[in-house]
Amino acid sequence: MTGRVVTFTVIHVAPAEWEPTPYGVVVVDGPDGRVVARAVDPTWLAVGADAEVEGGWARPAALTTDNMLQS
Amino acid sequence: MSGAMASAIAGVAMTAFGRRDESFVELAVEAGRAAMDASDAGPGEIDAFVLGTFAASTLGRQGFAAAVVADRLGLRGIPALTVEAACASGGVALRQALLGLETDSARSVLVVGAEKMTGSDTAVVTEVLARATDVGSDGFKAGLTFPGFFALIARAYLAEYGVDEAELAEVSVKNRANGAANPHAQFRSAVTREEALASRSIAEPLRLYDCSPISDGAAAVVVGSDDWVRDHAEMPVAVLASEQATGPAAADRLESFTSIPAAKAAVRTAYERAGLGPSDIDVAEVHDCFTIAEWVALEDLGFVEAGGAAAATARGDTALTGRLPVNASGGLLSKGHPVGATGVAQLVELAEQLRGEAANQVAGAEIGLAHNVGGTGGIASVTILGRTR
Repeated sequence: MTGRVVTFTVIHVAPAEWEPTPYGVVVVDGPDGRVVARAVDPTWLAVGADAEVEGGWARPAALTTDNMLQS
Repeated sequence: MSGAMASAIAGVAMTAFGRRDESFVELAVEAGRAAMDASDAGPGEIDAFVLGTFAASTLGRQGFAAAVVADRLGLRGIPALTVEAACASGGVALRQALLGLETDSARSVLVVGAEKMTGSDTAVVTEVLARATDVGSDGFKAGLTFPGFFALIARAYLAEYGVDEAELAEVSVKNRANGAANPHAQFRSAVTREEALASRSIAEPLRLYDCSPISDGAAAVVVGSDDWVRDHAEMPVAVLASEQATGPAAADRLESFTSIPAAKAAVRTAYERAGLGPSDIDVAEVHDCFTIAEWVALEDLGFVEAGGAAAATARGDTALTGRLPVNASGGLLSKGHPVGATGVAQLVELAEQLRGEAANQVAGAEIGLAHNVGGTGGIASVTILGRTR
């Protein structure tokens, strides 16, 4: 599905047995409703950026300088 | 609740919050016994017992907690139950006690909120707390912690209203300054804006000082019918309203990331029951589990307009000398957040404020409001208390 990032975070402190951190958690407001997903690359996250979600992972629909945030 | 003034608070008490050596049960008993003593009530004068806790059987390593605490307190032959509503367990426990009073099945009820959290390491505590959501939701499966959830709220809020994330530090600075004077607080030292902004990142944009700590502690109140409390307290505190509402129990079900619908629903009913509005509140204890949560609370409770909380904080409106002092106790950020105890501890602070006995006394406080939120807002409670003379 494709949608729009309505908010995101990069979690730095989490139980070690969950997932390597930091990773992004992104809420995508898309045609199928809200979905919380991990971000493939947290550095591209931005509120309002277009995103695609597949298998619980989000990635930018189109990686441009407008929707990239270099950490 | 119907029948304002029909129920009131007699004695209140709380343990010091922080890293405690005592067990879950010992903490609960310490607070419960102190509240009974403050009410000049022996075990035989308590008609029912309600215990608020989220993690007694996991982090606290004590199952069957209400029965065990009641037994240690000498409360025999009366109803006892445990109420679990995540971080709102304390506020909801009070409401259950009031419902018992309202049905005349009890004239006096001991309410204790308690949690023992520091006996487990941070990873375990984080995971246990993270389960205060729908574990079948996409958010939980994605590894969303509660710092992560409130970071989602913070990012959305900052983007929606064009607020600089550095402004969040003002909440921490205010509440840590308040907590410095609270003898029960876990953190009794102030922090500067610079220190807050330099602290390590937990979940962007939230830093260490934006987050409430892992805590042990307990708090207790004795509530009773108006006539019972008049015989057990020199200055009863009237319960004007105690309301609870449900809301989305998973992050991906929130329609908005800048509001908690359950809190808005609970406060709307509470204001109706009490015949009051936001401008009538003199002092408030709100659920600042994270700095952003205080801003969202200020708006959900109608104290400021949507998007106005940052400016209100910067103006000093919520400071001790401001228009509406918020979290004079230091809030969860400074006082600590033993989750089951938090909602009851808010009531302890308000009762002391309304009696003129608080460490950070708000001059002329006559009406106080407590706001207690569980999980992603799956449950919220709002209690309004009033000075009686």
